[in-house]
Amino acid sequence: MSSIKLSDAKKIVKLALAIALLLIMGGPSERFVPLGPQQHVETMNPKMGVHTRLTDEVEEWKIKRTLEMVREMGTPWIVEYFPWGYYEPRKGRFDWTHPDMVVNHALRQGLTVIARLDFVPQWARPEGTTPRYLDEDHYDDFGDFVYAFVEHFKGRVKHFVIWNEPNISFEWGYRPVDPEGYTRLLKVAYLRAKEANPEALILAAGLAPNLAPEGSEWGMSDLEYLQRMYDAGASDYFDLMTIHAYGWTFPPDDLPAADKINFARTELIRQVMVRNGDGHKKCIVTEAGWNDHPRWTKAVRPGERIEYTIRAYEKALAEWDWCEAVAIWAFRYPRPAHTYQDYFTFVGVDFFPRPIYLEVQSYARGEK
Amino acid sequence: MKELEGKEAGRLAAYIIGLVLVVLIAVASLRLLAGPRAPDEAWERIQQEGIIWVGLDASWPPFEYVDDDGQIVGFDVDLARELGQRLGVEVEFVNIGFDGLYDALKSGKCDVIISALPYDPMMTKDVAYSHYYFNAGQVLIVRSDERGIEGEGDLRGKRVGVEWGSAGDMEARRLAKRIEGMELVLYRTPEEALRALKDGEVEAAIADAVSTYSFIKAEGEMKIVGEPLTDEPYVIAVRPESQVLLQAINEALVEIKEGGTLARLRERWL
Repeated sequence: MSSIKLSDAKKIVKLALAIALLLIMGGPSERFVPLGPQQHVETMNPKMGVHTRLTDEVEEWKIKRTLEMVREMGTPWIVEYFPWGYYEPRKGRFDWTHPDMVVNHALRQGLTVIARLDFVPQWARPEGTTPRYLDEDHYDDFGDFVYAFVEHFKGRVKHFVIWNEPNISFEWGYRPVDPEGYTRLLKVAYLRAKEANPEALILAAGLAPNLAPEGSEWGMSDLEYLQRMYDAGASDYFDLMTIHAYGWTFPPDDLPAADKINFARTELIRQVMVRNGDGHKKCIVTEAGWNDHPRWTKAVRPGERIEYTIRAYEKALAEWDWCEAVAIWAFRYPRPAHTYQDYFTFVGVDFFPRPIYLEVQSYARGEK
Repeated sequence: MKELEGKEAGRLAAYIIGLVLVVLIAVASLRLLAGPRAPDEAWERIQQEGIIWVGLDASWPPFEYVDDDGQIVGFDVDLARELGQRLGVEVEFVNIGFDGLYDALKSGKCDVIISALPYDPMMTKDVAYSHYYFNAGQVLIVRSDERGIEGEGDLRGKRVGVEWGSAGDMEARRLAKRIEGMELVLYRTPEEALRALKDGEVEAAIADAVSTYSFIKAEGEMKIVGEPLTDEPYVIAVRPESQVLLQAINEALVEIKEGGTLARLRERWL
């Protein structure tokens, strides 16, 4: 007959109790993630950038790993979204913990951060509206947030994008789009940002490239919207223009046309700026890229995506002296979207690099 | 050192058995308190109306597409009809964009999704999946007369064709890291990689199973060797509460598989 030592039985009970206690207490405490030594991006094309998606990334090591991989790919610019509603849950009460984490890790990797600001907190909008809804009564509240954000990140972040795609109804709180109204919002944000830091650079919102017919309830042509912003006096209230330049199924050298959505449509936005006396201002493409989902009608083959992406970076470097950077959408998502959106990424949720990551990295190293 | 023997060991064993019984009774009581399993409304409606609504995106030949006569046809369409026959109901198709399939299921626009749907572990809280019926993962392909390559272990020093940037490319790069002398040759499409294999430019190719079966069906002279390099199982999805329906589908799938119908469908369409 088998026998059990009493001391062994006691050990088993103690171990079981320890495990139970650990489970109750929620496991070991959060891991400390050091910033690490100062790094620098090595690249042969200083205009290369990516749009990161760290807003909803909770774990610090994942934030750090993402930004390390961005640096290792050879892209010195990142665009990141900083939602007002996340950081000012109550009027005047700010919590900078998460954005500090993102910005500090980015800077330590040698990256330049372009911060996009929007997303209205619940307290600054009526019940039943979306976080894109901001009426004029609350423009000053947004201005206060911009002031606080710019002041807090003084010396760390210099580029600030005010709002996102206000020329489509969805991004304007499902109201009819309003270029004059957006220009007034831009003015408030610009003045408050400069008050906080005269060195801050304010970027007018990237407009959604679209071919909406005149009078559409869903949106307004980006070219028309920008002209109306100029007509409303926007020129005095931004330092750089943000451009969104998705290529859909067309290569980057496909010629621009008012009735076509492609990467080179960027040049049409530029023409509107020049026509309105803003030719001296630079542009930054904060969203662009191609998708290689096997079943999406606007996607291209994976090889085409690689080729077009590298050519887009090259084009900005060689042909667009007025373009400071091109940030391709999107580096990595914190979790899968379960849609074609997943096929815009450079690395998987698990950080495994897709071939496009390796190819862009080779290009940045001058190996291609 | 004192040891537990005889009566003491017996007492300890009785104590452990008692503890297990208490836990089992507690679990059973909790299940009873939780009440009976929710009824499967989808199954009840299907039985009542005699129709099962199948969601698919008819833009993915040969699994589902619209033919020249405007009819939705394909592997999944035939599979759905086989299932319908075994469940004793008519099959109606709802053509929905791929990205909208899960929402359509959730909102009740269809009872099931049968649309070359890859199993997604991240979605298992939102839907219930059937057994898989096709593995669309990456496979290793060689010419029919090839005798020296029987699996990834034989790729040392070989030229392997892949579609540039694809999942096959990703897998090949992974293999090349550990297989000495394996050389990647990049092509613009999986078909180009397979043609290069056929023409003798490369000694093997890595491509997804759907492209591979389609190419072999059209061109012949090639074979898949070894186990699939990656798995991408196609499954059927139902709402999580449709447990009776799911069980019926799984039982029918077993019949379809074991009776050889699934193999016939594959031969017909792939």
